[in-house]
Amino acid sequence: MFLEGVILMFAGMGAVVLFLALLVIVTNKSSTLIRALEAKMNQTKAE
Amino acid sequence: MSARSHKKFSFAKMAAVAFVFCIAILLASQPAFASEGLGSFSSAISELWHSTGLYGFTQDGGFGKLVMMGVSLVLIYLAIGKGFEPLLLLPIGFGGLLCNIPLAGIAEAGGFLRVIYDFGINTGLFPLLIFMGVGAMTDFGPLIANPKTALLGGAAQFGIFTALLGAIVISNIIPGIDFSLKDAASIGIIGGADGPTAIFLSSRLSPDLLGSIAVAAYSYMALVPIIQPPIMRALTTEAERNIIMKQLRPVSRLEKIMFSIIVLLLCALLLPSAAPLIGALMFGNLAKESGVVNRLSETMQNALINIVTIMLGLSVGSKLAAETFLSPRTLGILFLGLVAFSVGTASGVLLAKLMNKICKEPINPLIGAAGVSAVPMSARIVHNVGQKANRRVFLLMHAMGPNVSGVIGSAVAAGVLLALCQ
Repeated sequence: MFLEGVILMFAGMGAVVLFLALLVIVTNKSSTLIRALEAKMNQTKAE
Repeated sequence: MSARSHKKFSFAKMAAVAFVFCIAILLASQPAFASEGLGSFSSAISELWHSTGLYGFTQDGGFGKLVMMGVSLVLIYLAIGKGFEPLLLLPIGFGGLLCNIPLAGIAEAGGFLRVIYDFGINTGLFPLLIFMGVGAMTDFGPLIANPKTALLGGAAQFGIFTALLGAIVISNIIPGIDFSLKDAASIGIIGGADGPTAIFLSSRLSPDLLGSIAVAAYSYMALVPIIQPPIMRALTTEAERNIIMKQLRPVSRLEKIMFSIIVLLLCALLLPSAAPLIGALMFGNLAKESGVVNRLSETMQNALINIVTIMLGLSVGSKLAAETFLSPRTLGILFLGLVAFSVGTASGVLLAKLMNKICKEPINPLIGAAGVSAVPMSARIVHNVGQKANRRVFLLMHAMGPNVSGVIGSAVAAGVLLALCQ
């Protein structure tokens, strides 16, 4: 059972880290896109 | 009333009592009365005695029930006297009192606590509704402004898996403790410092341990101000605690709206087993951030979460039955819960130290400790420890990033454990 526990530990930590790392990347990219879009919209409004 | 009339009244009362007593004896000795099923007066008295709680306490398991009532009273004292997680420890403690009343059957089939338990916990509904309310109360702005702090919330989940392995190890070395892999996973989730997630997972994997796990999770969450600061100070230098972090940028409403949808999509693509928890959390958050359904958002933040908290607390308390709680396994769970919290705190701080060395912008390693959910208490503790080191160090908002990512991280960990152990 110990071996199963170790496998569960690696799989679990791997999934958590992978999920959050992807979240970091996607959030960064989407934030950049959204801010660029908002800046463009503000510029268009000002014009 | 004069003394004479008072004396007269007392005499009349005594005479009435004596009369009723005589009638009762006469009735009890009548054969017709016996045919109704009560036998004689002595058997009626005997039946009455057998239906009292005093008799119940003298029967098998009665002493255990008394002990559990004492434990429940301690929980109520901690809630009222010490202010430790009163919203949950008070209903849990009272639920514990109710379920240990002998012969009342409140937590047995047909009892009202059992009905609530079957409806809300067996189905996994209550933790999800609580998560909805938590989502409606959470501001993910600090995490969106500095997304890399989400990794700290991931590191702190290491406590979950350490406790899982610990549970397996102590099962092998300590006689009387025999945790299965499912039990070990349920115990490990205490390290997520997230009550609803712990209840959700343990109700799925180890319903018998639910009471001990919930009590351990909420007790340690209440003890965060005592458990975390020594670990934070031991793992950081004075200079690291003095690091002043750059102020976070403002986050727009559109970014916050998109964030809840992105998290849900990621969950749907990578880990559907975590979707109930993450979905409820993100729905609550979307309702808040959208700004168009304020009535729903306010209901989730107040009425809904309050009603569910009452029922969740009472039904978790109903699992504090003597026969399941009073065992060496409970001691093991309490010990492993402490290990999980401590390791989670330490791993968050250590990763923050590493990130401080690697990243361009300085990161105060103390914020890593907030990765163990316990929203927002652990973020407040981080802020207080930082303030003690240097009055110019303001860490509250910086710590909220890892804090809310810890909620997501523990939900993801629960999803993984559910997918692999069920």
